[in-house]
Amino acid sequence: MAFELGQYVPGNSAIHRLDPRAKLLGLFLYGLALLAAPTGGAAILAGSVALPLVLAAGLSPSFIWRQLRPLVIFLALIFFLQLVTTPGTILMHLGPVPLTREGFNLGFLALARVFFLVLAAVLLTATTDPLALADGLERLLAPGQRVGLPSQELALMLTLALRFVPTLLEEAERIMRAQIARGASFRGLQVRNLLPLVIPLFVSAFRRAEGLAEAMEARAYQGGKGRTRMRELNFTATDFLFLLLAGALAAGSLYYRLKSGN
Amino acid sequence: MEISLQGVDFAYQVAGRQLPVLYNIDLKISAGDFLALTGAGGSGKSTLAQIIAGLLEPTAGKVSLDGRVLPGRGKFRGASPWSRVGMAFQMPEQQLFAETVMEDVSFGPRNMGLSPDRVKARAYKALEAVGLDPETIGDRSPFTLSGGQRRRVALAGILAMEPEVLILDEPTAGLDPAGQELVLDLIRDFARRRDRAVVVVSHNMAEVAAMASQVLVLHRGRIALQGTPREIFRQEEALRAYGLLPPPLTQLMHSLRQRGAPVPTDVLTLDEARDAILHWLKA
Ligand SMILES: Nc1ncnc2c1ncn2[C@@H]1O[C@H](COP(=O)(O)OP(=O)(O)OP(=O)(O)O)[C@@H](O)[C@H]1O
Ligand SMILES: [Mg+2]
Repeated sequence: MAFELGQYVPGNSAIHRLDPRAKLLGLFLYGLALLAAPTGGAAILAGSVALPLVLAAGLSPSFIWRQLRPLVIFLALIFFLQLVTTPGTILMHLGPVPLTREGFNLGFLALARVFFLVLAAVLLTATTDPLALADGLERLLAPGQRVGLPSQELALMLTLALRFVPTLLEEAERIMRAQIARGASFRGLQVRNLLPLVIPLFVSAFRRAEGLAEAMEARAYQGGKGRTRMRELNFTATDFLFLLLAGALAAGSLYYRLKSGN
Repeated sequence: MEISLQGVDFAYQVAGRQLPVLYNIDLKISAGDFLALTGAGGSGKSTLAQIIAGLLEPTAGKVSLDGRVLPGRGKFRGASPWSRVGMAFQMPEQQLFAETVMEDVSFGPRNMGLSPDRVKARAYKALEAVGLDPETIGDRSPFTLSGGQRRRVALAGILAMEPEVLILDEPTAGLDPAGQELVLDLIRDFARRRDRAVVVVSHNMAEVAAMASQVLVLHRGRIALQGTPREIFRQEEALRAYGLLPPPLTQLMHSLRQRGAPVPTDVLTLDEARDAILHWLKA
């Protein structure tokens, strides 16, 4: 049952130690490189630079697989939609639907892009403490405050969400077992069947939220302005190097796209 | 009926890693037994209770019902051999979900496929057994009740399934003294029938002493001590080492004995203690 997309795996690898801002920007640049890649082959080439990082982070293939498994259907759907909606040179027919060479190519490209992007996102969340991640995001968004972006509130929301997702998932499993003890079945996906899970889960989430708000107020929390932090982020030479490489990847991919002229 | 665990290990999966919690547990629960599971916080009591109830599957070892090795409850749909085992989780009042008390209590029996008439009869009976009046409280929303009442409704929801083995995880935790007494009476009532068995997870040694016929002490996921309450409470040192204290009466007898009074240390009830002390004072 365990649903663990986006779960943090504590560790001390070089990837774990990178500054969260470097990782966030790196992910952005990596995404850019994937988007710029003009063909499926190029996307795979650009995307595979994440593979050694996954290894370096000490993440097992089985962990990665468990993270990606819920997305398999989604990935298949992306491929399929591109495949059947792209006009071009017809290769074969699936029933009445013509399948084109261009469809295969585009489907493949979309598949590679999404797959590697999700892989990199998994790598980010698996190697970054959620709190550090939110911290990094807050710092990156800080300039936006000048134009009215509530970056601190956004970061707080994200922190809380990240902090409580695992708790809620654990709670959900516990409630599920408690209802299974009463003969409930969660195999069908009718809404009716889900009520015994969803209602207690909501009740507890609200209670938790209330408690948390009170606890924060009791400790004089009143928004982010002027707060100091326990953990200072510090951007090191390694972080620069990492960003430089990510930037080079994006630039290379962009260059290749312009040169190949589409 | 009989539930037996053989060589059971259990580990939670956390962030793709195994977190071992139970090691090599052997135990057997038969009709007529009243087993107390105790141990310090985090020793694995709740986990073990859920394995006994078929709600968690062991990572190694076997769980069998009446000699037949069974997969966990999640593998069955509707009625299953596990329906004969009822379990109330820690804080069971958190699982209430239906619009009315009556409906919530009926949830279990209905899932067992009973006819509406029988479901209703069972829900009435169960609510009465926990000291709630079905007529006045049956139509109320469970969320408008007090914590203690909600606990009773939740327990009624389990009793309404008429299990042969009842497993309760800290059923009295967080209740006021009257509420505790009520729940304990309820459990004693249930245990009165010879064809039933009870497993109670509890920190409260006085409670354990008063009810259980067997005590099992868990320490860091292993069975550390096992025996009748008398046998267990005699071992004060060991209990302390496992993060527990014998019940106050036993502690009193230990203190008296340390000061040279020839009193037995394995008393369970107030009467026994009084008799022993009077006997010593007269002599
Ligand atoms: N859903 C879960 N996921 C991961 N680890 C868990 C989970 N539930 C319990 N644990 C861990 O397993 C160990 C045993 O937990 P368990 O709840 O069985 O202990 P317990 O003896 O019932 O404790 P308590 O007296 O506090 O209720 C603990 O270390 C706990 O952190
Ligand atoms: Mg517990």
